[in-house]
Amino acid sequence: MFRVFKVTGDSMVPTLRDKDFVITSRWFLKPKVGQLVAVEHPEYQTIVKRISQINEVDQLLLQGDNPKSVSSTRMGWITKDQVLGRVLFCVKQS
Amino acid sequence: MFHSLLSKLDKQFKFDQVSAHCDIPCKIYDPAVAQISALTIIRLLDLIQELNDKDELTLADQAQLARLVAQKEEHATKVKEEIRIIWGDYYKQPQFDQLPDAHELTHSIMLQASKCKQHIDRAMGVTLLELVNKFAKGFWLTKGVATFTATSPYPPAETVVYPKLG
Repeated sequence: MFRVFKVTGDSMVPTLRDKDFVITSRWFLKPKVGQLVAVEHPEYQTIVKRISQINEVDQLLLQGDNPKSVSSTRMGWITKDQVLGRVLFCVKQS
Repeated sequence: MFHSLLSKLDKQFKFDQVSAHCDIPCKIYDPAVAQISALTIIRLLDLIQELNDKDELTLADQAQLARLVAQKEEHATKVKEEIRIIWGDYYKQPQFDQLPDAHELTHSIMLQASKCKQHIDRAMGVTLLELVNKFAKGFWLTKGVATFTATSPYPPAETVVYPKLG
């Protein structure tokens, strides 16, 4: 259904900042380039990133909004099964 | 308001965290790994040549040859990966401004490393090392670190670009 995550780190600045919250769901998961997703990554654990590319076998390439983010190259292609949910709402600190 | 509500709930129920961490490990880039791999390729080519000079290969020699070739493949891949990461992750516009031939040089290294996989010609490995050295020199330029050349103190005793640190 819905899951709430607390954001840690600044790789998604300016979209998300440390201590913001995101509300995610797998219900609306039809990945599209540009969407924010929470992902269970084999190396970087649970991360929130933006989909930058989708290949012909439905694998996703991710990127952070902050240029200092872990690069797409290092994160590598991920499968749809690794996506915990699409970010539906961002709840930012005022 | 919604944020403060979620913060209170977080204190109570501890929501899972989702990481948006920056580059890990932070800004650690060094062309040394690529240089050592290029040297290793030359060394492996020398060892392959030693086998080539024999009249006949025993089973042990053949096993050794298989191992040398596999290692050569692995180190050529490592050169490509290390250079690609520096070029793709560390180099940004300020570095490209300092190194106008960075794209062409990186591409040349990719091609030359592939040639080292395809051939057993020592000259191919030496050319790869020269290109990687050139890349290393440019890398240290972007760091404001001077370089010098010296012969590697181990086989294959080829010229390597080192940073002048300290």
